[in-house]
Amino acid sequence: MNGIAYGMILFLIASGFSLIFGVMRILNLAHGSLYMLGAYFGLTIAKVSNSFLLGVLAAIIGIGVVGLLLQRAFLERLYKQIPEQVLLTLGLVYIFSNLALWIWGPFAKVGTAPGFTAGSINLGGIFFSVYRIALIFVGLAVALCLYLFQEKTWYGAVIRAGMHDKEMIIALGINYRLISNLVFILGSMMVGAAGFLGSPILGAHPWMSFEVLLLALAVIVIGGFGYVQGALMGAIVIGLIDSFGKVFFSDFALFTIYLAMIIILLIRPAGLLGKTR
Amino acid sequence: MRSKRSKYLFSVLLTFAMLLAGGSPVAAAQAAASDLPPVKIGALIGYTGPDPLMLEIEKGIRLKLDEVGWKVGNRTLSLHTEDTASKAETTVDKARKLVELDKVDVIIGPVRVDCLLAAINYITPSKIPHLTLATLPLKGLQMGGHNVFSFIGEQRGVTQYSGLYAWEAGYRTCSVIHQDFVAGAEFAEGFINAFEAKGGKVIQRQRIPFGTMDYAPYVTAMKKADCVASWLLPHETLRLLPRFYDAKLGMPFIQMYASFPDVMLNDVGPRADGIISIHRWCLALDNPLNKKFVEAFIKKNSADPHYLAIAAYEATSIIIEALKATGGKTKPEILNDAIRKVNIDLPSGRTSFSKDGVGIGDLNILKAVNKSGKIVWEPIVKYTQVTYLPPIAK
Repeated sequence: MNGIAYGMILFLIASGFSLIFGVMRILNLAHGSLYMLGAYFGLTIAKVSNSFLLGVLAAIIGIGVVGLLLQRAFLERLYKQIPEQVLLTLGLVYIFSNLALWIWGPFAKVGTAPGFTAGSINLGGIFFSVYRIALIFVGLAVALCLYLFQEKTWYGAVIRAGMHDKEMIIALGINYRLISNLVFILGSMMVGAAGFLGSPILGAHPWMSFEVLLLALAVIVIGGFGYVQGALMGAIVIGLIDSFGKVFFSDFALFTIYLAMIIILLIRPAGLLGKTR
Repeated sequence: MRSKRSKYLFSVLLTFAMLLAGGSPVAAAQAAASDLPPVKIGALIGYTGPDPLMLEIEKGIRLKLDEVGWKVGNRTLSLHTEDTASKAETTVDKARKLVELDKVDVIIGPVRVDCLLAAINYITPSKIPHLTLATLPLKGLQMGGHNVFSFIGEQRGVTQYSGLYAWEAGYRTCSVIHQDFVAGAEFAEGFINAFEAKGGKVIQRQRIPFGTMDYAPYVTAMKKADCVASWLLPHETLRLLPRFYDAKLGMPFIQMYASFPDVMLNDVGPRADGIISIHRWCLALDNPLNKKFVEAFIKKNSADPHYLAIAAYEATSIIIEALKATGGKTKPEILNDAIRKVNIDLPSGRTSFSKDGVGIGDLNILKAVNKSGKIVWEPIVKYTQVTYLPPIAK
């Protein structure tokens, strides 16, 4: 249960990253920073308004705006220039971390689960946080919505088609630039929401960007990028490996995730559900 | 009339000229004093890097320097801070700059264990007094010379008292969880050695890698014991505590050594109620010096002080006290001896040094209590005038 709940947080973080990289071929290493900023935005508004829901909305809208600015001001000028994207977004990580340090101070923060999810329930003699159970359902609901969007809507069809042949989409007269921007905003909004929803479990501090980014990368390497199913599969696999690893091989717990990555890269480089080009 | 006015004007001009030329005794004395260079205090601080709490250090130093008007006797004080970037190699470069270029008379910091060991390795042969702001690892104590001072103590030397407290509180078995690096391991070792020396039994020891995001599996894996003893980095403790609370394991939670101040405690909220910790200092320490310090810090910085701020403030206080004893002399051998002989009342209590340069002072067992909706650390037990060196010094 711990593994699945953790996996849902990872899914929320990684699905945005997967979509952005899969659709737009943009390697946004500042993705972890967007998570961090989402946590801070949400925690600030939730504290001021005393409303968890407003905190979620603040995180979603706030990071959506940040993502849009990032995309329009910097990243869309660097299409297909991966080394430049890496350098730019790496620099942005440091800028965002120091901005967070300046605005919110050096002390780490942790969120509080809302109302009825704040307690624990007894499951077979073990007390389990209600909030983590709620996160499982939230994650599954988001996954379902994204899947339906991806598979059953026109926009989803355009996005999937664009992943394979962007030029053909443009030739058909579809405004792919608009679609790309919307994907980036959607991905950013998701990671922003993940930041605040994950804050009661993972907390927030100015230098957590790299910790989050590594996990997101691990998820999409294992699951495959561009598709919701891949991100979900990768997230659950990582969540379970991490949880079991901590219990049975605690001294090597952090290594188990990267061992899984290595094995997948050797056997199936596109990821478990990724499509080979 | 005209000649009187002329004489008057002439005498005024003459007096003025004499003053300008430094003919007055006051000007002469001031000139003599200003010939002395300022006492240079160097500080190695990780402004950049993954430990944002290091920014608190400069606040503590400046507060004390402001308090004394940046002067000791007839010597002015100057502060030379360098950013270690929280990296050992950068720390050595910056220490070298402070010693060889800036020619500082005393150095404070750094805090991170790797940076601290690198700094000690370089600074010790220079013989310049070096006051550390964090507990010293065993290797640091072994490497350090006559010029290295840790008034906060050696890592195992501090946590042995939390182990002693656990025994005295009636706990006989313990599940230990700690960060998997030098500091975490040594903090745990101090606790475990003292606890087991009394007859206690540590039934489990979980070593947590850096960057662990989810602590739920570690909490689920905790074995049932009389208590849980933990030391993790502050932001990782914030991840552990809510999981521990949710799991309702029913075991008292002891922080082997203080991980975070009141402000972070309140983020955890009622989930932190009742946890135990240990430190020289807390906000609620009831003595005039501490009240004065806390009030001044809040007035200047609009925030409560952190452990690093009080450590920096007290380190600066010790330096100033030593300078008073030497009459402003800063020759390394003279200043080192003066620091070693310091016996001073600080916000944390009376502080002095052992012959090894390790602090002698009070240690407070702290309990997180709910006071009008705010969770604060309250001292509940005091170990008075103990040497922060293992095994427990009598």
